[in-house]
Amino acid sequence: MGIADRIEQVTHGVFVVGPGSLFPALHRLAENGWIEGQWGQLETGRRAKFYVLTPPGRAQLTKEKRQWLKVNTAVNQVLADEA
Amino acid sequence: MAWGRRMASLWQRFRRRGWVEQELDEEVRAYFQIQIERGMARGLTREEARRQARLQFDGEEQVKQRVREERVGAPIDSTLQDISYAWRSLRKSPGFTSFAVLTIALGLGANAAIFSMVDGVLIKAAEYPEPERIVQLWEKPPGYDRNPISAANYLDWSRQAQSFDAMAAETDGAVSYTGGGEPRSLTTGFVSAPYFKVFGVQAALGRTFAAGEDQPASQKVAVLTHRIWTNAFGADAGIVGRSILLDSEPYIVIGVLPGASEFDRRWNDIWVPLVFAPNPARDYHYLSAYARLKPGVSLAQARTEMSAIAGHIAELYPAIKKGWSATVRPYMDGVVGSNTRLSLKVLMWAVAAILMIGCANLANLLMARSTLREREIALRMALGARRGRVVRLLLTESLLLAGGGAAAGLAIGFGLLKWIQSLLPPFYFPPEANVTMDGRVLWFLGGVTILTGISFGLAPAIQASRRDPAQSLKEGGRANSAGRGKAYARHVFVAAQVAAAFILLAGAGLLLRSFERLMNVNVGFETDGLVGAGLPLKMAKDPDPVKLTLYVNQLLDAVRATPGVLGAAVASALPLTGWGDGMPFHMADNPEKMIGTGFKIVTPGYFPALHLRLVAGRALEERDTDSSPPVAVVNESFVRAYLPGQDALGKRMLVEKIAPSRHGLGAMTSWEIVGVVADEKGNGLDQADDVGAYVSFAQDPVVGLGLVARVHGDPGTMIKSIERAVWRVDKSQVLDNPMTMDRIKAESVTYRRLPAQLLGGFALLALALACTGIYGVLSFVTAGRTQELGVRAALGASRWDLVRLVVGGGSIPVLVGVAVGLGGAAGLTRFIRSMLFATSPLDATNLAAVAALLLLVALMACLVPAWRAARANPMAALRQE
Repeated sequence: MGIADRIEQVTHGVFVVGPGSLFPALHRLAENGWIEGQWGQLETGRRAKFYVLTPPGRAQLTKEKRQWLKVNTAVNQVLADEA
Repeated sequence: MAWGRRMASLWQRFRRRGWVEQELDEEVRAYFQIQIERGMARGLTREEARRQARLQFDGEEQVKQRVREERVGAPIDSTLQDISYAWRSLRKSPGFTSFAVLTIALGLGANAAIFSMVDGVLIKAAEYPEPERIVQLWEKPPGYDRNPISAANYLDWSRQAQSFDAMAAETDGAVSYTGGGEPRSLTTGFVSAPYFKVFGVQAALGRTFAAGEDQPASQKVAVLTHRIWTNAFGADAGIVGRSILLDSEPYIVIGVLPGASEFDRRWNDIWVPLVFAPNPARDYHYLSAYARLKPGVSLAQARTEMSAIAGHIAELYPAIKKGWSATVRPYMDGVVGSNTRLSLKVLMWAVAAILMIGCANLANLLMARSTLREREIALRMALGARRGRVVRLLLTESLLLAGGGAAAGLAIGFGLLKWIQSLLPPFYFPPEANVTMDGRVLWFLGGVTILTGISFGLAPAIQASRRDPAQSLKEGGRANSAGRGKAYARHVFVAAQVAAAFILLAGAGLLLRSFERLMNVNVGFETDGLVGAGLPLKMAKDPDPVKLTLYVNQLLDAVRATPGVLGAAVASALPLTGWGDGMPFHMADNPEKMIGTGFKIVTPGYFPALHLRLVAGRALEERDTDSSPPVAVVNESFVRAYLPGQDALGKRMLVEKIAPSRHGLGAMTSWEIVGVVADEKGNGLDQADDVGAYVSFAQDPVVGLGLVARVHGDPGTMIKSIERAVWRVDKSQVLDNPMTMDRIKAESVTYRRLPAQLLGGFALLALALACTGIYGVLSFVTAGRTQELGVRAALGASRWDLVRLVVGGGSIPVLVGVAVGLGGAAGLTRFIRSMLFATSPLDATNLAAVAALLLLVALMACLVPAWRAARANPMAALRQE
């Protein structure tokens, strides 16, 4: 819940992630051992699952970030050339 | 690392399925609760907030389902789930399931059996090492490609040719084996020493022939096939090196050939070296020859070399070899005859058509079923199943059906193959054909099963998943108002079935008609009460004409003296098994023109024994002896071909005698034609051409004879009596393969009867399947129209009107199918022209009969549902509303 909100907030509403996409994605990450879910309590007192990055997850994130930057830069370059 | 985690996760999912599900449920529910609470915080009521959350996102179940699909191992899990659903749903309708499984089993069984034969005979490679290097050789006289080879030519070829690693000649015959109990005739291959080297075959026990063992001076040796080693020698491993008596002469057994190999499927029981007399004949052609190309030598090179060698021989002996050359052909090209090849192909297409008809049937049934299951499917989709998943579930059902059908089909196919094999006369297929239901057939069956399941399941599955679930649920399950597309598809399937069945029936009809006509062909003599057997003679190697005549007459006297024997004779060929010899000759008054004729050497009793009708002059008689003028009797075909409009009697024909040993020709002789007889079918029932001449055994005694006898009473018993009579003359004399003439006749046409009967059976199966298809579709459509028909009845439609309505609706695709089938049959039956006898591929009676049969049967299939519709009680029908 907090994750979806945060994404929406950070992207200024460009990415709205519904539960139909969010949950499968979380479970996939968890299966790869990149995140870990734990049950905790919200400030309202309701039980909810909290996901945190694991060390391998953090490593993977760095890798993916680098990869993304590379691709992104390349794409930008192409677009700039086009213009 | 990530991989390890995934495996752990997979493990957990299967170990702790309940716990995983519970976690997921809780997590997703929490999410929705929070959404609702947030909505309430914005001032909505609880109900409104829940509605908003549902509208904004998918339902909880859909979300959970999507997570499940993302997980590791989801495919395995969902497949298992699909199988268990499919199993349950199939078990709920045992009638449908057993019908479907039976349909597929019949289709796949027929395919498995026929494919086993097609694979064994046409596809599977021979087991010889490098079979493409084996070639067969012939002499090539002017105007003809493949003539047997004379011994002198073979010897020249084998000495001069450089293209081959090995070359060997072969001639087949029979020897009598008197080792244990009654004398027994063994079919024998007389071969040159390198024979087994040509085929690349090693002995399983001992050795095969060594170089030089086919020379006159060498020790007599024999190689046994595994078959005869087991049957006649008790599979005794100590047999190698032991001496056995063949034609009363000792032979040392030097080896046993491998079992279950080509050599166990060959005619020959035993192999002995072919020994030539010094200076053998160049003008008597009786040998086959095989050779193995040297590595790197091409077929073209071998052909060039053989033509050069044969050309040289032709120059040396212009009197007999002018214009002769040699033919070299890859051995494997000649293994399967074109008749067998075509029959097998036709049968394969037929069983493929049956499978297709079965698939169309099941596709129709499944479509009908999915209409009935629309609510179930709609519910599944409403509960989160995506379209692909529904298609998969339905496909799993069809694959499960196909799998069940395949299992049953394997048993049916195995039985069918065994049954067909039991009908085949021995040595029907070439020895290279290894016909068994082996792993290759299983692979084929597996592939076809999957294709089958998909082909009958995919269209209905896609169609079923295409409906809008909300719509289906709203209609409350009375959704029989099948869409147009669906009805159309059904009719197309029915029409296709009818067309395919029509083509098969038309083909089968042609073959059966041909066969019937063939069996009614006038053979020229009376087959009833006639028995025949081969008469291999011990003195065959070097027969003395006087002793030969004496011995044969002794045998004939003994046979004639047997009670129940009305007449007996020997002949150089039994009736319906060819002419024995074909001889080139010319008429004395026309020495320029070389012509050819069947040339049969018989004792005078032959004509009365067969009841062969005398047309003019006289038959051969006892007074025609070696000291009287040579005389011949010719048949009506002979007169038609060579002496049309002339009086044949008194004309003279110039033909060489055949030497007693049959290994050469004797003196050129002028035979006076003293009689004309009716044609006896010599070259086979389907051959129009039967030009033949008969001369007296007394005037040209030879070996290589058969015995015929006309008997009174049970032929089986009489064969035994005749055997005993023969043994009284010589207790080691065997009668080879004795059988009734009716059986000889039947065996001579097996290659036509079997495809005709099999195709007939398959066509009937196709007809039955197409019928159930028509019936099934029409029943379903009619059942769905109960209310409509009730309304019609209430508004005054008579029963007759209703029947007409239903039958009319059902008959349209049938008529279309018949029309397409008619066109297809007209186009396709010409491919089996060579399998027909005295029947045109476009035989109008046949096509009309097939069309009538199909329409009649289709009408019957329509009538039951129509009758049910006509009895529709308007009140009851309307009350269903």
